[in-house]
Amino acid sequence: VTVADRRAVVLVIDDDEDVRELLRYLLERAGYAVRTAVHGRDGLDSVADTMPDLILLDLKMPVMDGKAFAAEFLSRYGRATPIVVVTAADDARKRAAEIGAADWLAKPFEADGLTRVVAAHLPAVDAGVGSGRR
Amino acid sequence: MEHHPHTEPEPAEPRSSLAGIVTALAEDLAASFAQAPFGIAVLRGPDLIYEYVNPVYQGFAPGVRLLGKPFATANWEMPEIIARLREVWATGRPWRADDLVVPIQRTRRGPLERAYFTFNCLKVRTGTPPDALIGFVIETTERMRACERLANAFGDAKERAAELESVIETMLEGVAVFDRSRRITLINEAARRQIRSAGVEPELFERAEELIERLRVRLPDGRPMTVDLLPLNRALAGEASRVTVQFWNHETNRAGHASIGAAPIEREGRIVGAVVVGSDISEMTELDRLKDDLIRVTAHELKTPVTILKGYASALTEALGPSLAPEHRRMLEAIDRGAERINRIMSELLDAQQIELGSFELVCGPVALDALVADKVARVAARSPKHRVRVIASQPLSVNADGERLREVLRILLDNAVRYSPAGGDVDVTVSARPGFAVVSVRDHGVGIPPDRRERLFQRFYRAHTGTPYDYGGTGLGLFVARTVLERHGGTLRFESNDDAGSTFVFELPREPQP
Repeated sequence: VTVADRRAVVLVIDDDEDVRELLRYLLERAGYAVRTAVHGRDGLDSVADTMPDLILLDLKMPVMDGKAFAAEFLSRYGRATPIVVVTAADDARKRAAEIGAADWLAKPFEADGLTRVVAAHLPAVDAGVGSGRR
Repeated sequence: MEHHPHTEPEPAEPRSSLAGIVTALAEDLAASFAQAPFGIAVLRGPDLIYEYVNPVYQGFAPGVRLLGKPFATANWEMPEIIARLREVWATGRPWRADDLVVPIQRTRRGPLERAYFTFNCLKVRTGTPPDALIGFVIETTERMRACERLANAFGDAKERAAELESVIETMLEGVAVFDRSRRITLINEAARRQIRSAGVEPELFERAEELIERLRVRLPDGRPMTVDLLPLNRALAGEASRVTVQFWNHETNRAGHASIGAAPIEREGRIVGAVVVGSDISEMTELDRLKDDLIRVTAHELKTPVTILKGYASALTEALGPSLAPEHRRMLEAIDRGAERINRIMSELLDAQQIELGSFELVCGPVALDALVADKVARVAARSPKHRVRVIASQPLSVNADGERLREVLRILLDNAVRYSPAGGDVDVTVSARPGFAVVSVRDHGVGIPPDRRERLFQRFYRAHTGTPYDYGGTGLGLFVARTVLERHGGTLRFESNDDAGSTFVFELPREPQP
């Protein structure tokens, strides 16, 4: 098992390519492995293929939105893999709680805010990644 | 003739007793005439010469000599009466007229007045010719004037009532007046139209429970309307009120909104009914909703591009690190600041909207206030190179609060302090405590707040520096949001300002959890 194989995997589900690539850039720089999906349906296909360690989920998306994805995901796989909602909604906290997400990150976010929230839900996976509470 | 005195009493006695009676009667009559509460005049012969007037009659025209004068001369100003009296003389038929308008000059040089008299005139045979007219006259001017005033007042009142009625009838708001037993006594066209367009009959308004049920009347927050909340019922209980309600419009088959107000009608301290004024505000409410949606959707949609701008600008700044030329670094920082401004404008709009809609919620928990202040101050200091933004006094303080919202409050106060100190300078922040409260102050040495604008500083969209050289833009929502956030925590926000020496904003938060 190589060091690279032991990196925690984050699945980013967001329909906006620029946001997806920004998240990928920031997360990879922080030491995570990143996979992406363009909407909820795509995300379900991705997790069926390989279960990530954490999911960053946008809410407003075409085809299948974040809420529908979360419902389907939780019913299939339970809560073992945390979902962090990344949303521009003004009531982000409430929305995250409603769909059963572990945490939330409001857009626009800052790099350290992103890494803090991700690390908080991946405490044991990779010691090299900074951890801390939000 | 000497013996006559002995013989005269015998035949003379009955005659003299009759004469005595007649004389006595005449004297009684004269006395009663003199004391009569109405005017009496005796006019002798075809020329109708005044032979007798009683004091009341003379009182009609105190300044005019009557006795011995023909009626027509003494009363030249009343040709109509002259003609009437001549007719009575000629025909012998009595004449009577009630409340006749007569022009009269009461004194020789006095004005010609309009007076009212009731006349009763008859021709009488007298012992000695020629015959005479006897007139009984009552002046009714006072009574008639009172009647006239009453009639005028009534006419005015009717006119005003008619005016009022046409105003009410053409009002855009629906108006209905109810009596104490809730029956409609007046209803205008707008109210009838509103009622018809809601698909119910006006009589239903007299039966509150049924009305609420049929129109599915609810309060704006969706709670069911209760009978005791109806403005009509409250008005009949003596209390004026206004409510906004939702209802189901049976014509359009859609929900509508109405604003309904009612006030008691009191007469002599008693409630005799109520007036209800209502308007259909469905269209306005719908426009308001569209506005709210527009703000929400726009804010939401702008956050993603703002995320992209800020994210890549800071990613580039960090990635290029030392190899980045200072001017290029400044450019990237400018992109970040611009994006951050868009973000704040949208956040303030959303916050203000949530406050307005009543959907503004706090999520409270323990917050280390000193650490939060230090962190926020450091962030603002980092992007304000012209200013020295610093915490000059602090102590460990924990409060039960919504940390996110408190960050927003500090951000607003610090941004204002920096923005309105265009020449740079110190922005001094302190964290302290007084019994039961945590106190945070933010002091700048900037342009201050003009005295005449201080009062309105916390109003929505109010910007104290509009139209001054210090108009640095902004939504005018920041302080409104900040104060509301603090008040929802049970705290306060106040300020002191010297015109040219800057301002100090101080907020206090209760240290115990709020119920």
